[in-house]
Amino acid sequence: MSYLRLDALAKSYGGALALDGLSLEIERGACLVLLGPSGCGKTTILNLVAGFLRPDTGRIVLDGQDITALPPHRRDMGMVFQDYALFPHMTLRENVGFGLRMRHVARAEQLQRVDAALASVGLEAYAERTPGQLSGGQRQRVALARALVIRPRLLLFDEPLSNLDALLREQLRTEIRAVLDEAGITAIFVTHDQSEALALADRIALLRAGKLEQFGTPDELYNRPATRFAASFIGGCNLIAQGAATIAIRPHCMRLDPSGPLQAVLETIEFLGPSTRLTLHDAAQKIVVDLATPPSGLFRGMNLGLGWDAAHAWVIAP
Amino acid sequence: MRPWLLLPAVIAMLGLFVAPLAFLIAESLHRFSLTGTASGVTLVNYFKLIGDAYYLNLLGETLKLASVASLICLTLGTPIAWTLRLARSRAQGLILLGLLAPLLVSVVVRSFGWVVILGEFGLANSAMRAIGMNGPASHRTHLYTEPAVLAGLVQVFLPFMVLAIYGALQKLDLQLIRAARNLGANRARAFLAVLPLSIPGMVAGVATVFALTAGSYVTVAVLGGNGVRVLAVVAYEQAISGMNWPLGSAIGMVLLLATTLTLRLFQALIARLWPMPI
Repeated sequence: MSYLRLDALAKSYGGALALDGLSLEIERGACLVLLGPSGCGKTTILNLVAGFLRPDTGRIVLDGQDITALPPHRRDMGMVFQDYALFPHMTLRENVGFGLRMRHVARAEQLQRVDAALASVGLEAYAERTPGQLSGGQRQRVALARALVIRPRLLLFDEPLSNLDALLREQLRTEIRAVLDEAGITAIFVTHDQSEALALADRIALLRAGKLEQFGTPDELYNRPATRFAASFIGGCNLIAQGAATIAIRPHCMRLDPSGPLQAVLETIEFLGPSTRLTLHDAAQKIVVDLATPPSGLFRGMNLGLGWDAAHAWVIAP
Repeated sequence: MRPWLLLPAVIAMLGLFVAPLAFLIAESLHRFSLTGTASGVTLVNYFKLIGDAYYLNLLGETLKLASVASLICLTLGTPIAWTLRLARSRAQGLILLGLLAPLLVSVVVRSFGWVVILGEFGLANSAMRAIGMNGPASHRTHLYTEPAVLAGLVQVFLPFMVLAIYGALQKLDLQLIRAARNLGANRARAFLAVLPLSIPGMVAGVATVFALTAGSYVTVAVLGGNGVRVLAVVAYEQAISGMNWPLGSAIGMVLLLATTLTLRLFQALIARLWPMPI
């Protein structure tokens, strides 16, 4: 049986439909990533699950209990916000202890659990500081500790990494993944960043205009996107018209082949480190090719023949 | 760095603030004489104020009235400011309009408005009689009492309190309330969790209203009459009616010093009770 079930959730704001009868379920301990462009409804789902919003119709069932009408403070969920939402007038210890105070946990246990939580994110030395004295990455670690220390039934992440710089983002992403695996907590993670989604998720729900575009494992979404939108949103994908059908092929599955089915003009060459990216145009479309070992003698404006592995190409719905 | 750009501000400050204050201080150090100001510097006016129970009582009354008015404004202004912060933008506009529109009307007119309401033949009494409360209270004026003065002061100065608190609340991240709710706080406890963040605004509001009410003249003179007397009114009487400019000036200085001192103590107390992080 599923641990969390969203059942035909709908929500509109002043006539504009934000969520259009969305249903999905996840297992206990899994990390669900809600992925999509802004305005796709992913944040609305998170707010509905947290209880900050009520759905117009539909139900939310957590561990067999219908929580649709439960107020947020009785849902036992921990949330990590995009802009941290730490209490600026409280020390880290008071911030992390807030949820325990609200639950009337005994004083000694509070102290012990707060210190353990701060230690788990490497900030035990800063317990008496206030959030204003920390960097963005440290603040988000405190927010994570504050959400974890209450041992929530569900951990919610609202684009927690988007205010951090690229290096820190990857580092914290790895830390979050490790924490989730270790604690075995079920989590929902909202992001518009496909690489974050692929790295963190056990299941990805790709959303578009309030509807589920595709739901599956990262592997399924990356290697077999069901629609044109899914193919282009996740990982960049060549969509090549072949008669009436459209064929999708990832850039790294393309190869140079003088006798290949496509002939195109080379426009740009970018060195990316692990590979080199060629951008080409033929009469109908733009084609991107990532080559691990590009041949020498490439130049802008030259004609190249392109081919691909049939095993890595698939036909998608128009 | 163009220091000369400060010049207009410096001139305005000197001409409109420093110079009048200097004249006030100088005047207060003169000895009163009906035949023109006597020469020489003396503290006799100050000794008269400190030594006379009448004036000390007045000072106490003034500070008490300002404190009570500030407290009422704080009590009424806090919920208004929060409502304003949490309202949607259209409702915000309406609340602000309702709050600021009275400021377009002169204090004199607004104070006389209360005369129309609270006077012997005023709105309050007619209303009381209309609903059958025909007791003695409905046949005498409610003016010249402390509640009447307070009503006027609160009406005049409430917008300053609301705007001060609202200013602090605008910087408040509303996600903090959600964070508190998410961590297990019900509505009331979530509100209490973020309330300390509005303390700087409340302190600023109390300081503004306290200073303005302690020095307010028109409202107290019109609604207080002979019943409620404060230092500002007496300073005016001494200077204008009694021609005693030195004593009037000294009263003004005492009021200024007492107000400043009270506010400093108040701010020190708050800073000790709720230290704010930088």
